[in-house]
Amino acid sequence: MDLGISGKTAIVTGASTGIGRAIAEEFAQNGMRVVIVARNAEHLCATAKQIASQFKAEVLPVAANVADPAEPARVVASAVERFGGVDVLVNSAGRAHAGGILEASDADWQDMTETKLSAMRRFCQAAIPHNAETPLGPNRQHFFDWRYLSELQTHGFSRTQRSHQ
Amino acid sequence: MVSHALSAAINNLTRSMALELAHDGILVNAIGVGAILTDNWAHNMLPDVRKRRPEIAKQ
Repeated sequence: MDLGISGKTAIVTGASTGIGRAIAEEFAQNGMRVVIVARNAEHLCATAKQIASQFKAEVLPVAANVADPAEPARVVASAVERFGGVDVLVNSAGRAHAGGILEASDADWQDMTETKLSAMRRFCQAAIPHNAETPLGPNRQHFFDWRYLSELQTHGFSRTQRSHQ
Repeated sequence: MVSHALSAAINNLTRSMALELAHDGILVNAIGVGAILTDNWAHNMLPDVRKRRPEIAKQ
């Protein structure tokens, strides 16, 4: 099936493992150029080589902690420099700590909020054309898919446990 | 549970941005996949939670 995305450029965060990686592989398989983002540079570069080799695709690894306020703009700039623009942004990086709202430390709360919520807005700010200096042409089509993990905490944990029994 | 609160925030952020950007032909969408039994979940995340929060693991 032709998804109409061949030749377009995607950024996928949280792309060295799990669902983020599966999304990056799917894009590569469909002829997209993929910028993959994760914190561990070594693992990320190995992932980039594997995906590039398996799907004969152009894959650019950019190691970054998405919770760092300065990083989304740097990642988008790297994508623009290498591929000329961004068509698809997938915010797949997530972070979840087990436990209740009242039990979570302020550090955990900040960490999760920066990673899951603030990073998404920053990536969109950096990637979406909002002024004349935009790296994106006015006639290009853009898709922005946001994935988030829900029920990953105690509820999902206990359900998953039960499914193992 | 913090994750649940943030997921709700992400949903509203998604709706607001979708409205702001629709006239530019930009689609903003959110997919809430819940907990998925991936290799990463089974081999890394679950054992990590069990280790850090034994009281939850007993439930």
